[in-house]
Amino acid sequence: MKVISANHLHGGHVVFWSKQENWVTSIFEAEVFESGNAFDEAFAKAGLSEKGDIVGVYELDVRLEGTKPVPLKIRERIRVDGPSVPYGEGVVLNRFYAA
Amino acid sequence: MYRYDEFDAKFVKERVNQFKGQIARRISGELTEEEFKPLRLMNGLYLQLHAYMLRVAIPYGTLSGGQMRMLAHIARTYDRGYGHFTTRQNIQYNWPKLEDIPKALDDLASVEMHAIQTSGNCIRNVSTDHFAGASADEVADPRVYAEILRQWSTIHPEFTFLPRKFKICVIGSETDRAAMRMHDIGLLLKRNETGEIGFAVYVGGGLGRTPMISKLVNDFVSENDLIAYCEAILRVYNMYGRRDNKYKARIKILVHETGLDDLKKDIEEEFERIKDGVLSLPEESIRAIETYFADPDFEDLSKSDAAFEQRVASDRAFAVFAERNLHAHKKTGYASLTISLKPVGAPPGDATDKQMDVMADLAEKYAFDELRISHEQNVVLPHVKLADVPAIYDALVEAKLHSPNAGFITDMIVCPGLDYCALANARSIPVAQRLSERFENIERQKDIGELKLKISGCINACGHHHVGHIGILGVDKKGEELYQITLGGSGDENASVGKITGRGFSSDEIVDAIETVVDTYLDVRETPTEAFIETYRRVGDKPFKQALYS
Repeated sequence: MKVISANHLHGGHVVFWSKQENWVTSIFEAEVFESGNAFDEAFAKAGLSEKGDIVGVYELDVRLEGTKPVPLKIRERIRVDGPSVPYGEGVVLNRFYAA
Repeated sequence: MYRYDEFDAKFVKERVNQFKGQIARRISGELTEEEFKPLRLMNGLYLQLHAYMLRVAIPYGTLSGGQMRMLAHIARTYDRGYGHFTTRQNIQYNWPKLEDIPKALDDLASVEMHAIQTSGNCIRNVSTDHFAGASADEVADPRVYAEILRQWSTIHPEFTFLPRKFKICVIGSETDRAAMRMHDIGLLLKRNETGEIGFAVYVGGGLGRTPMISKLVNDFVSENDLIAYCEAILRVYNMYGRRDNKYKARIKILVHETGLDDLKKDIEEEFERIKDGVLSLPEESIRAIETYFADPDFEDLSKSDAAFEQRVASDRAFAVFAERNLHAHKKTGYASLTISLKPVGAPPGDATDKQMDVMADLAEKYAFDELRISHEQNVVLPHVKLADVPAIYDALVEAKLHSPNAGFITDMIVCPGLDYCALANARSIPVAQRLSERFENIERQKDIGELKLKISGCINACGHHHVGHIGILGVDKKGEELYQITLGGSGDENASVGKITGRGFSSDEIVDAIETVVDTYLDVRETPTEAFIETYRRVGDKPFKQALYS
C-alpha cells in the first residue's frame, strides 16, 4: 500500500495527498492506494501541484494500523511523526554529570 | 574581531536583497523548485525531512555577544527556540519558514552575519582552532589568515561551481584542535629558519565515504603567497576534479587518483605562473587585518587567584568543572573556558535561545565580548580571568550549561542524524543521549580520561566518526538501524582513520557494545594515564574485537 507525500513550499512541512484530492498535514487523512491505475492517476494529478506550492512529490510504502497508515521505513515514520527526540525547551535537563 | 567595512556591508545587503527577490519569484511561481534549489543552497537554505533548515555562517567560529544574541533572536522569532552548532563552527536552525527567511537574513545582516556559502559546491566557512589567539602554543593567530581566506573566497567567481564543496582549515599550533588534516586544504602556520611566517600546506583530506588524511604538498609557503598558492590549488582542482561522479569529486580523490607528485607539479606550475601578481598579499593589508585580532586589554595578573582557589577547595563540582573545562591561556591569570553543549540526555550541540542569551551576556561581561564555536560543537569563552570563573560557573549552573565533561567520552560530536537530516540512514541523537546517560558518572568519565567518541547517521560522516577514538556509524540494514563501530581514529596532529571492528549492532545493543569497548580499554591499559587512543595504538583492535564478538 502507498500514500503520496511532499513538502509544502512555504513552511517546508510534510503534506499528504487526500481522498479529496488536496494536500493535508495529517497522514490519517491521506488516501491509501494499492498499486495500479488509481494510484498512477492520483500521482500524476498530485505531481501537478509542483507548479504551485508543493515540493518533491513522491510515494511511500505504508501498512495500516487500524485506520492509520504507518510508513514501513523508519525514515518515513520519523518524517511523519517528527523527530523522535525532544528539542529546545522540550529537553528536560534534570540530570547532571554527578560525582 | 573583524568588523565589516563598507564593501562587506554593501555586499551582504545586496546579496540579501537578491535572495529576497529569488524567494519572492519562487513563491509567485516564476521560479520552479529545480531553478530555485541551487539558489537557496547558495544561501544556506536546505529542505530537510520535516522543514527547511537554515545554516548561518560563523566565520572561523568567532562571534561577539551581540551576534550570539542575534542567533538567539533568530531561534526565538523564526524557529522553535533553539539552534544546533555544527562541526564547521556554524549554526543550523531546523524549522524556519520560507517566507520568514528574508526577515531573518535582514536581522543577521544587521550584526554582520549571513548564510552565504554555507552550502553548495563552493569554498565553505574557513575553520580554525577554537582557542586561536588565546593559546600559548601558537605561532600566530590563525584567524588573521582565516579572515583573509574568507575575503578571497567569498563569491570568488572562478570557484562558485567547483566539482564539489571545498573546506579549508588554518591552525596556528602543532597541536591540532581543529581536525586540520581532514580538510581539502589544511594550513599549519609556522616560521621558517629565518623566522618568517608562512604555512605548511596539506591537500586532500576529508571524511565522507572515502576518508583520507591530507598530504603535505608544500612545507613552506610564505605569508604573502597564501592566496596565490590556494588559488593555484583550487585552479588545478577545478580543472581536473571529477564531475562525473559526486562521490569521487572531492580533491582527495584527485590527489589519490593523480598521485601527489603529479598534482604537486601542476599546482607548483600554476603557482609560479600567478605568484608575484595581484594575488600577492601586501604586507600592509596583512597587518591591517591583524589589528582586528589584536589582544584585548589584558590585565597583569598573578598566576593564581585566591577566590578561585578557595572555590576549587570548597566546591567539588566546581573543581571538576575547572579541571576539565578550563584551558591554559597565553596570558597569566586568564583561561579559556569551554561551555559544553553535551548535558546528560540532550541533543549534542544544541542550545536554546535563552542559553544563547546567557552566553552572550557572559561574553560581554567577562570575556571581552567574544565567543567561539568549536568544531566539537561547544562554545568557548576564549579569555576569562580566573577570578571571574566562579561567577561564570554560577551563571552556567543557572542556565544548565555547566557540564564538566570537555574532552570526555560524553563530549561527543554527533550529527543531527535521521531525526532531522534527509540524507541520514539512522538516528544519532538518541544513541548519544543513551551513551551520556550510561556514562553519566563524572568520576567514571575521569577514570576513562580523554576519549573522543563521534557519531554519524550516514556515510557522509558529518559526525566525524572516522576520526573518533571510538566512532559509530549508523546504517540502514533492511529498513532497520544498525550501528558499526570504528576504533583508533583521530582528528588531531597524529591523525588516523578508524578501523571497523566487525558486524554492526542494533540500536538496542550499541550502548552495551560501547561500554564493552571502554571496559576492555580499562582492563588492558598499562597505566591510568595511558589514554584510550594510546592503548589502542599499542595493543591494536584484537582485544576489543574479542570482547565484542566472542
